Amino acid sequence: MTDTNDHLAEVAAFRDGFDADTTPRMASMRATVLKGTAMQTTTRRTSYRLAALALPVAAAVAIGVGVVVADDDDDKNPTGEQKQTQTSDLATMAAGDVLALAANNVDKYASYDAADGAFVYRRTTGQVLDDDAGALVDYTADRWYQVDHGMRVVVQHSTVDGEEDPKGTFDLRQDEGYDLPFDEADAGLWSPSEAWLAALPTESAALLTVLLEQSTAYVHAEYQDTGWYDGREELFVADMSMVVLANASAIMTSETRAAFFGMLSTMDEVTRVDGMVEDGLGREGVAFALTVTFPGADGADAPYTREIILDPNTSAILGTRQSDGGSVVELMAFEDEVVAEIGD
Amino acid sequence: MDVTTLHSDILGLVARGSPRREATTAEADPADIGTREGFIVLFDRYAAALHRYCARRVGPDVAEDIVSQTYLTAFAKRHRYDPARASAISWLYGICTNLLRRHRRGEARALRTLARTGVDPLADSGSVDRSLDRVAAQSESRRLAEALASLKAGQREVLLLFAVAELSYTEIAAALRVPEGTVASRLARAKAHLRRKLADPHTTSRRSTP
Repeated sequence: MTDTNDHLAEVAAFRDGFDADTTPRMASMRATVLKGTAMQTTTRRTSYRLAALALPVAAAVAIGVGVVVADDDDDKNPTGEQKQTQTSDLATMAAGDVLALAANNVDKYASYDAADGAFVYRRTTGQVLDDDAGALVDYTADRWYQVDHGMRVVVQHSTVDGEEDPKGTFDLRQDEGYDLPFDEADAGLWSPSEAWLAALPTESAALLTVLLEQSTAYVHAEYQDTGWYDGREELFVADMSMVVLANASAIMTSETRAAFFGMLSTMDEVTRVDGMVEDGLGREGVAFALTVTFPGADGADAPYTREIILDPNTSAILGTRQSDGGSVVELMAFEDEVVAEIGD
Repeated sequence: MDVTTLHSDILGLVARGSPRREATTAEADPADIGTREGFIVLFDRYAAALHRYCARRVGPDVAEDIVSQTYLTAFAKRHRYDPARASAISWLYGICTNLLRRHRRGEARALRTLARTGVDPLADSGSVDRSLDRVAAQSESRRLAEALASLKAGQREVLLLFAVAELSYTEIAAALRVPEGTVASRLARAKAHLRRKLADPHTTSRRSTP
């Protein structure tokens, strides 16, 4: 009778002829990896903007592009009684006060309930920079985000200047591997998941501590080649927290959202945008901003500013505005809803 | 290190990548895999072994894509890598195994075809030695393919990581994120299954007779 170990040897030798002629494959794989890793460490500013354009993680990995933040989604449109005195004061409030007020408005914005549905539907309306034309063009997108998969964008239909954008229209459900489970170890500021958000402290100082702890290794690994954050983890946390607020507040509890506002209210890097700001739908709100300076394609440092526009009454997030080198490259308005199915 | 050019010693990498033990345990992994330079060292150290393992499961062509994707995924997730690990190999095999799971149906289908016809559909690539057809036609390969195809997917995974990739129980457990006891029990069941299927050359035909 054949010994079991001999069977293992048979398994080890199974298809051993497939090892033949591996040299050109190794060269090909190495070239692919070199190219892909180079793309992931690119300093192109467009990569930074993609963080807020909700490039889906699965697609990004497939094409080998580094993604700062996985996906997005955002806020609700909660009802709440207008506080006239607060609204009238907003025009002159400092950033810290605006954000502190937003944190105190905890009872005015909707709180995520997993029973509401498995997907977040977002309608995005506004203008985005057409790189070829060098001008802002109308932009719309309908997206469905999968809540239990780190807010992966599953389906997207977008239009640019009124025409369907083939590059921005996709349905990942057709892709092989779509059903792979989300790895919670991947969750973080760069890829906010339902469970990760739910586990965060709801006290702002504790939240900052946790986010700094979680982000240090990531910032080191992701940005040491680019110098974008220059080792300033707190700046990274502030920046990415704004992205998470803008993109994932639909799956936050009110307390978690308030903690993010509270944390940002204490950070010097976050500033106030003067006066009132209109979002992509012309809705007027109050905005706070963060500017990160990093090298552009020409190697020269240039500022990139991310702004979040809040409803003056409820502190709900209306939309975002982003500027590169002082010029607006994106102005958006968000309308979100937690839904049971894609298509709802 | 200049990582913008192809490695000058690809032949050496291939030679060192098989068998895996000779290639991968002599030196410690670089601590700075967050950089492209450090990361490429991981490629040079393990890619040939990973390709060898993947090729046995899904064929050399698909294996090439999977190994490349394994490294690109690993690079995207490098902030999660714990430099305190004894070796990056279980981390890479874990990513690779996840990617291979997308090909489970095709893998099982190819094994069943080999068992039934004696022709390995994965050996059709022009880069594969044509003598494979002859080898595959041998009854041992057909019976082994049948035995592998009839294993549960989880057991086949552990068996191949152990026998082909030559990972230890601990490394397999880390790669699959399961307890070592689970690895041991899956491997024991896989071995017992092989014993039943392969020990008696007439076992299969007798069982298939009503």
